[in-house]
Amino acid sequence: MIRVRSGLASGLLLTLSLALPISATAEIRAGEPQQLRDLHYGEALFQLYQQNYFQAIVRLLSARKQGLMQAYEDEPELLLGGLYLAYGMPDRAETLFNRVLKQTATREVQNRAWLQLGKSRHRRGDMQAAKSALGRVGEDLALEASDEKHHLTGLIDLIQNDETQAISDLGKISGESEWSLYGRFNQAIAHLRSNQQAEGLTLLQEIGSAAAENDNQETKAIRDRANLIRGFLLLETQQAEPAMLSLRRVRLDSPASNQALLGLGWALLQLAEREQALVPWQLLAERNASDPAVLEAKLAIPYVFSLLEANHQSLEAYRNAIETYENGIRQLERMSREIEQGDFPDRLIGEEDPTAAASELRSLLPFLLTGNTFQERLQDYRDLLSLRRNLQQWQEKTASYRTMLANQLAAYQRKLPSVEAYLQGDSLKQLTGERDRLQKRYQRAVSTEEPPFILATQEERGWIERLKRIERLIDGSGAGEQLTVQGEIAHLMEGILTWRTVTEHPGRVWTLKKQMRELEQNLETARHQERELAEARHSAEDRFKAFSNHIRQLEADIPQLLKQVEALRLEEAGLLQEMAIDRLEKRRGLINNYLVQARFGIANLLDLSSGREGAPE
Amino acid sequence: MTQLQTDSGINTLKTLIRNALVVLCCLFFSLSAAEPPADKGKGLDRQVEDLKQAVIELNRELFILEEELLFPGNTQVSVFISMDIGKYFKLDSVQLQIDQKELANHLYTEREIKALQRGGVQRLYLGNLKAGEHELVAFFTGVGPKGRDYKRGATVSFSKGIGPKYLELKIVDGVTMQQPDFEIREWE
Repeated sequence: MIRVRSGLASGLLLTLSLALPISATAEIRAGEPQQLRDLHYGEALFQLYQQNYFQAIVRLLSARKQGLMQAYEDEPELLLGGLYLAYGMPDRAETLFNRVLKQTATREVQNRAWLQLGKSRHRRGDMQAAKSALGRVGEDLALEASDEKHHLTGLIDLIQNDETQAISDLGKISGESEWSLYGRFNQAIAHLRSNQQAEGLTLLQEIGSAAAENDNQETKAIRDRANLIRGFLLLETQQAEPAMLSLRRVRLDSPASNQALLGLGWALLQLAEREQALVPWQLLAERNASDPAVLEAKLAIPYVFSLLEANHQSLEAYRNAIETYENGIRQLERMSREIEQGDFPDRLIGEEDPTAAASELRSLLPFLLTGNTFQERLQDYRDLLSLRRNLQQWQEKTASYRTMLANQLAAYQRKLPSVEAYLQGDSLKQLTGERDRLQKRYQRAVSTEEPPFILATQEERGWIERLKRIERLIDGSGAGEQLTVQGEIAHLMEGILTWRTVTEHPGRVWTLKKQMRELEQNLETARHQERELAEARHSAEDRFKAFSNHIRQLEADIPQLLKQVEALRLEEAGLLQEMAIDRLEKRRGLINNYLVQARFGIANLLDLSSGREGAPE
Repeated sequence: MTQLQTDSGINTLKTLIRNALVVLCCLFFSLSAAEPPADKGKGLDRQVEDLKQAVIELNRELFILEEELLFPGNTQVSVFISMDIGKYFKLDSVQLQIDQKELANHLYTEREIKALQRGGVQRLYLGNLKAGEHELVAFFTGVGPKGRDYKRGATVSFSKGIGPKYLELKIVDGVTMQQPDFEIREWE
């Protein structure tokens, strides 16, 4: 079989190595829970872990401005920088990390800031600066962060074509962290690129064959890729059997399965298992024709039929392939027109659009979405749409806040006269008078030497008056002897009353004192409320005015920002449109190439057939 | 004629394998993380970043304004929820009552649960309460130890003063009893 140029393979490998996500989602591990030191910081983390970067940034900035977040020192700054990075704001992130580096004194925070700065610069494509930042990270780093640093350094080495250094840097990753698998995969790529095929293939074999039950989706995808690359590399060196082993390990529901099926067909063909080779390719040919591997299989099938000298089936299969390619080209033309007519990329991402044209466009989404540049542009476009929604929501909200404020002001003005009346009224004076009266009574009660009736109740006073009246009547009646019994009863009653008031006097003094204390407290509360009310009345109008001005001021910014969002959205849409058209053109070139080959195949078959007919018996 | 057929076959095979590699190469090249952004896009990137910053700053101001307007400090009450590893309890929903009035009822998504398990804190409720004594009751529903349905309540009486009040509902793994614990903490 024909050996494929090694340059092509290394190009493929380079890109594969970089295809790996370098910021893998950290799995939650059992262990000691972190001590929560700040609710607002935790709230930002809650948003971050759901990838709501915008919300997380806003929460963090608001809490910081309100002075609510103090327990974490430089942590919020580092978190904020990471959030800016994740939200596609690397310049802002860089500024923040630099600020942390200037302000912080602790080595630990400095290390983390340098690491973040390295990530930020790598993201911006400034590899030299990224490497210099990573070089400033000290050795005393937590295992996970240290492994992340080595991984990123290794990736940069690969980008700078320094495979030897990449192998060395990636080799420093410990076997413990989540970066280990990424590191080993990229190390394999580095080996392959520096013509150390055996080492590279061994590493790929280790990665691809070590599937475990607890593998997450990312790990499974890496194993699939390792198996796929190994399979194709072995195919290239005519080692069909081990190639098949690797290709068969690729999961059938994996995004790499189409390529694996394609490779499997080639492997079987290398082993001269022609009929068997048809099995994976026929399976592949039934899949979505937007995948180039499917288009490829369509061409491989008639080729195998021709090898099997089943010329009729071969002709049919070529015709079927031609039909698929022609349909594909027509579909691409339709889509190009669709894209050029506008509403792109809205129709590509707008799932609510049920039209056939929109769903056709969306069927091409996986193809268009590949590539970091396109994805980042599309993410920026989505971010702009979400900024537009956000601003529109605030526009509605601020309008309702203005109405709410106006209603509050009206309610306040309605209540103002009663507030004024209360403030100018004498309720506080009455309370003070009551307190003074009790105070005098208390002084008298504690200072009089014999105070039998000084703290008598109203009822007791009534009784005393009545008894005195009775005594006066008896004395004035002139019939003292006849009324002796009544006089004694009156005396007895007076004695009882006197005894009661005297024995209860200390208790009554205590109650009076208690009443005075309570009154004093009520008086203090009333004074406080009156002060607050007076202050509120004094500041209410200023407060309403300040709120109103603030709302008006912020509201005024919204249309301006909406205008900017719209301008940039259109610009992004234009760029995406250009990129999409360019990709469709390339796709068309690819299909055209297949089409030419299929037509050539038919011509070849027809030539053979006419040759046979014309040949002498 | 046989020779012709063989040559043609080899040529086709050659082309097909090259096609296959080109297909793969295209696929993976397009995934490259190091693909440098085009110059044309760089200026646009900067403008988008500046605009994002402006909208973020506006949101920060509006967020604070909204809070001051709708939930002034002297009446503001915030209830947060947090959890540690969640080994003994998988949270499904939380219902929150203050003074016997239902104020929040939240059904959790897998994503939210993971965010809580990783150390995130959710603000479950933001509202207003008068100064004075109040009672908070929270009901946690989910799956407890050994996969059994689990519902537990936690109660706390708290005093609302003149400043904002922050309460944290904590779901903690009780290692000794191998049961979840539900705690309520008042923050200063």
